[in-house]
Amino acid sequence: MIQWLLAGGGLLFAAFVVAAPAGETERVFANYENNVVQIRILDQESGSKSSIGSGFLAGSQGQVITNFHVVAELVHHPDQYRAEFLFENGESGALSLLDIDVVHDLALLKMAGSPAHYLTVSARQPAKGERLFSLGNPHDLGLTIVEGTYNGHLEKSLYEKIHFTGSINPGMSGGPTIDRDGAVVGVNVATAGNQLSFLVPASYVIRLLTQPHAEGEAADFEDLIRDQLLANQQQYLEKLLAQPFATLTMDHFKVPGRLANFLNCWGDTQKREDTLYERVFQSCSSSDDIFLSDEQSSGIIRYSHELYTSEGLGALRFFGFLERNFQVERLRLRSDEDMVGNYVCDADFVENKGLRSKVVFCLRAYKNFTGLYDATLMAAVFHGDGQLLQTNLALAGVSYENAVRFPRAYLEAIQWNP
Amino acid sequence: MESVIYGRESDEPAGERAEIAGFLEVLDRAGHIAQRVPLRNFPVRIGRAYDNDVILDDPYVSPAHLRMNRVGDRLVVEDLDSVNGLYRDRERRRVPRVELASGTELRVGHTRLRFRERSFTVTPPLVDLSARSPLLLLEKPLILALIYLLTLGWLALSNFLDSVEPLDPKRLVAELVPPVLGILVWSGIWAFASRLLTHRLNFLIHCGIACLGGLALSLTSVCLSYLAFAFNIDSLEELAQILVSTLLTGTVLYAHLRFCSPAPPRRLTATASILAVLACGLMLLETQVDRSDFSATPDYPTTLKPPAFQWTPSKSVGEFFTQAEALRDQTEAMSESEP
Repeated sequence: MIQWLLAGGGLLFAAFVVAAPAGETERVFANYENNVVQIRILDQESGSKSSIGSGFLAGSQGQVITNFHVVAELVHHPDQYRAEFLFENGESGALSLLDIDVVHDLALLKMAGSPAHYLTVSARQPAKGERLFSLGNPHDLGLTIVEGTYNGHLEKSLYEKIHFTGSINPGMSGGPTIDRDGAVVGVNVATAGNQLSFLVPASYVIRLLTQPHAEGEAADFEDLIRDQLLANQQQYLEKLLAQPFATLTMDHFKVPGRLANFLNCWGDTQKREDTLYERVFQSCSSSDDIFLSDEQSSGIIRYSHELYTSEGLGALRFFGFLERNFQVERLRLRSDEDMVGNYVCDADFVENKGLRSKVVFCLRAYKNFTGLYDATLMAAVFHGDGQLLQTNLALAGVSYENAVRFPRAYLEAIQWNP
Repeated sequence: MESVIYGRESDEPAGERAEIAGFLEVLDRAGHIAQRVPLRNFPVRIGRAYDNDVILDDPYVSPAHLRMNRVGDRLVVEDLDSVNGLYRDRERRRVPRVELASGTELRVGHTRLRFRERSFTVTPPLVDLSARSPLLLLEKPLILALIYLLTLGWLALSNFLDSVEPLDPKRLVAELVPPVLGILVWSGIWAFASRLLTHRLNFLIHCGIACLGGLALSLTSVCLSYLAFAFNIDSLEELAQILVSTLLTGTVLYAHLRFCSPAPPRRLTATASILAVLACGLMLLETQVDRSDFSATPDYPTTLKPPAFQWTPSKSVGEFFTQAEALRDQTEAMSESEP
């Protein structure tokens, strides 16, 4: 699983070193280290650190780029926290929030004054295998440079990312990854351990730097986040809904299969010697999500199908077992109590193209992002007394229209194939 | 309660018997009659000594304490210079003599005495509901045996229905042990209470009550679950379960109490009802508290039965999601009601 690079996360050190021409890394570090800062989110009252990350100077007017997840607490609780930069030489100052790209996990901050130097951001796509240098402040241990290689863009991700082979660690979040000429190629964002690291492509940094932003204290970032999340879910769900669902076959059932390449699917058949039923399992999930807070992610789509076939259990025993399995509690999405309300559910019998099912549909609303919902659907599709298809669907962070439209299309895609 | 009657009449030939002028009743602390002595031949002497006509077993009573005599058509008691004296009704002043009327109460030592005339009108008889109570069936061994068999059968059947493995008789028997032990312990507690209060164990009867109660709870719970599925009223099932189990718990408590307390049925009904309603209130409160707490997962009970038990028409996918519109407003209420 991908892990966010907030300091305080898991320790993932690796002992792999990419060989570089002698002296090159030293040169890169010496030339560009003064463009990298540590970013600290401090509690207003006590002044103690709440979280730390990295960032870099990205413009002549004091623009600083970092990850949204580094400054998330400042966005959600502007009255409780403030942001500060700290150069390696000890120079520090206040930062104000200018703009956010929550979908790509970027934030644009501003320091007072005009710095003499800053990093240029390049839209150039490096060649696979090209050596890159990642800078940042892992675990608050001081500014560090990590060598690694560019390995293209992730193909199976809903949110575009660069695959960087190099050990970036918690605390380096928001730091730049640069080429040998000092041009920013990407922003450190996440790791899956063992040198498997991810960067936000520079093109999104350029967009964030150049687009007009609501300047000043009054900018309501929660509304901005909501609009970005709404636009994002509309875009990817629209794409999914535009074409007929790809289906796969489980015995005689046709069910939604791998609907897009950003979904990861796997399956299995379970048959234990001492039980009188068989279970065939298929599951798909978006491999990536959008960070909102430590407890809440958004932009997730996840579904699974379980086909149960009785092998002489008898209807009462078979359905007794299925009933214990048919519980909405299973549809767990990460939840931040401050962000979402409780679920409300509706259940009914539904008939579609000759297939009868019992459907439970649940919805919960986001508190601060009006118009965003998490939706879960659970259906038991009947076929006689000896077989049942249970299917579960969870969507995190969608509009009400899509919270209804997508489950509806999903349910309608389930068919019986004689 | 066995009361020993002390009186001169038993020594006399039947022919010489005088007419009974009334009764002297010795009352215990609760006001119940401990002795009732017919008054025939006067004077009647009352005291602790064995040569009295009425012997009172009270260390505060003098050997010869009172004398009762006929004066004209009235009866009069007089204090025979006793140590602790004679008192009338609840008065605090010692009196030398008291003229008796029906219902007059006397205090001597720590003993209460009451005089009743023969003409005293008793209250109408109580209707004995217990003689008609179906609970008396529990005293029949055949019926008890039937209840035990039914319970064991039901336990075995529901264990079997809950399993997904091939039938294994050894395991089926082993799974009966915990619920049977539970019933035995429960009945044991009630039997102990019976022994204390009525001097009878009634263990088998209490077992029968526990079995019947368990059977009824289990069967109604299954029926409610099927009804909830059949008519798609899952959300009402929890409430119905609580109400039905309150009713059944009350009935079971009443039955147990009937076999371990001599108190009148009305009082037992009240006790059982209060206990059951209290339990029901606590269960309801718990579900309400659960509901208002934040939960990361949906909290919605769902039933799933074989499709043949669906007794309500299906909706189309479109109708279902149109009906789900209502959820939108509910979620708004959910997320706004909290700070």
